[in-house]
Amino acid sequence: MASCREDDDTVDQVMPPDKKYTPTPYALELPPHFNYINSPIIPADNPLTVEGVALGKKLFFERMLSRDNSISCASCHAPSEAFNDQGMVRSLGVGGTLSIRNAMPLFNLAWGSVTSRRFNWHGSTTTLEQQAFGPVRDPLEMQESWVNVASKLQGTMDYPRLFEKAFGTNIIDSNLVVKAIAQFERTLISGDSKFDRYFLETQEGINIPGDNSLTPAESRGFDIFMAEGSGDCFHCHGTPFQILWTTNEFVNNGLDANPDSGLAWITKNALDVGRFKTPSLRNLAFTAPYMHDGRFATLDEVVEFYNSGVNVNSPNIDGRQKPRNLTVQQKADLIAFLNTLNDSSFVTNPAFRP
Amino acid sequence: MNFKNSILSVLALSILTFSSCEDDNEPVVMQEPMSAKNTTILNDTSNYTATINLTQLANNSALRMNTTDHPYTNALNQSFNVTKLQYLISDVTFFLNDSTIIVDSGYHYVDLTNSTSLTYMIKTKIPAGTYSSVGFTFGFDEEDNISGAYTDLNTLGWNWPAIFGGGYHFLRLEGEYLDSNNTSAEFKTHMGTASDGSAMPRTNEINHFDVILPNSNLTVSSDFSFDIEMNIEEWYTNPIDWDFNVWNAPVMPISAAQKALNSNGSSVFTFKQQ
Repeated sequence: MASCREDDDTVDQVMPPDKKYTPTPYALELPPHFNYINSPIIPADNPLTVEGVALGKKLFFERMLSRDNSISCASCHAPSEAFNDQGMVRSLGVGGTLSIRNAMPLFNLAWGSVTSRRFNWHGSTTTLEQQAFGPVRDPLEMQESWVNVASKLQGTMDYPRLFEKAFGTNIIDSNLVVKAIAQFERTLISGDSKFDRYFLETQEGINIPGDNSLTPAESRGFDIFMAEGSGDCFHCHGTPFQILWTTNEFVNNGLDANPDSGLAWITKNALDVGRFKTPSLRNLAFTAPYMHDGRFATLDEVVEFYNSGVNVNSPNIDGRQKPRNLTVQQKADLIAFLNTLNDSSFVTNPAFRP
Repeated sequence: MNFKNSILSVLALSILTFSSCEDDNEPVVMQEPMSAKNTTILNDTSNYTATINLTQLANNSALRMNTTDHPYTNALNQSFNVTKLQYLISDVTFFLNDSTIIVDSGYHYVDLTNSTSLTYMIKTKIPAGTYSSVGFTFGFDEEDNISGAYTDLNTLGWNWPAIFGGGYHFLRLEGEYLDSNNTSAEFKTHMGTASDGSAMPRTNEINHFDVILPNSNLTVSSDFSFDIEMNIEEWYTNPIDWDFNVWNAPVMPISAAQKALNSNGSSVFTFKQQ
């Protein structure tokens, strides 16, 4: 818990001694090319503050959120892995219970609801605040009640004071816990991959140290990605101007003839069976295994699935999912391009560590 | 139909206003350079709000989406349904009885899953008067079809790939048709820049079209509204009968398909005022 003291110090430094509740607005630093897309979605009732983000980070790494104080959010969402679960196909909850889906990586979530207005693989929540309620009480994850969480936090020396600074009250309840966590999550911005630097140089004329040009293979892979009639990845995973590399829409990509219910679990609409949230293609080097159930260990497997392995008879399958007939060279080129979307500075950013 | 080509010189002078889609609320009033007359005398000098309802028709009724059957037929008697419809209009234009035109330089993205997108209140206030017709550009014209220029459309991933000429999609009309084996198959009619990959190097042609709505004369003396109706089957006929077995998906890289949509598009839209 040495990390907690560091956070406390940070908060203390920004607090004027004569006032109790004067949170400092937190200015989200966006990469320059993020001005190509809409502003991040910050709820009016949960603006980012320095104190709120710091508290949210502390809570994100807080094991008291789980029943036996064994795991935190970060246990399955590790900053070194783009907040994914370190190669786990499915994550382990308290006592080693196996969750039903692959843990999603966490970044650029402030835009996560711009089109689909939903979070999680199966779209179970519509805000980040709402999302944070789930894992704590999930019987396969943290297995704790929110009453207990609030009670445990209330009984500490530091949390009541930190909530006071962030929200103006030292009475801790779940609504404030999820607000703080959501604030922290909105600061997790990834936009410094090789392709980002290439885009900034070629589109914006911004000089960035180093060679940021695409190799011939990466360039060919980009064309395959963007071409309907070839890879045609962009209709779901976005374009250079779309920045996020996902449209955030819910699609059945044809993994199974009898798919998991997916979004239909929430909407109860038969047309949503098999539809899952389209993940961003940023940071794939850190987020294996792939798909909602982590069935593919490598990008080669993923690309081969889209190339030749789609179950075309899957219900509600997206019509683009049919054999792409890419050559060995084209598949290698496509993967070369995908790897230009890895953002090493994101996974090593000290601001996201405890 | 190319009314804007006929006033190209005026356009060139107005290009700054024309290319800005965000913040100009003042009407852009243009006159054909050859015409000095402007004889309309308006007693009412007020400007009024125009609200456009974007409606969609198929088989002469309101379009039904996501049907389990295939209720519509194209000119080749191929049955189809519609599962997605998104499109873009811009530069709504009002033609006065003389040579004056008023252009609203905004754009509007329609997505049938978002009911608020079915109403478009243009920013330009329209002066009282009698107008001979109303028009608009389907998609973006060459001044406006600038890659990456519109944050809201970028966020939606509405961009048209640079390898196919760049800019933005104008249309996504998707659904299922019964193929030659009577099996349901998907079509994805996407429209944007017409790119010809058979040429070396690849050639790209602008592919928007200007619409002057038939029978769209109206008198403006108060805030007003009207419908721009999209008649779905017309995308697939008149003059070119579209064969879903040939052009289902992909059609973005097929120049002939893109140009067919451009040709057919001129009869897709109709005007209606309650």
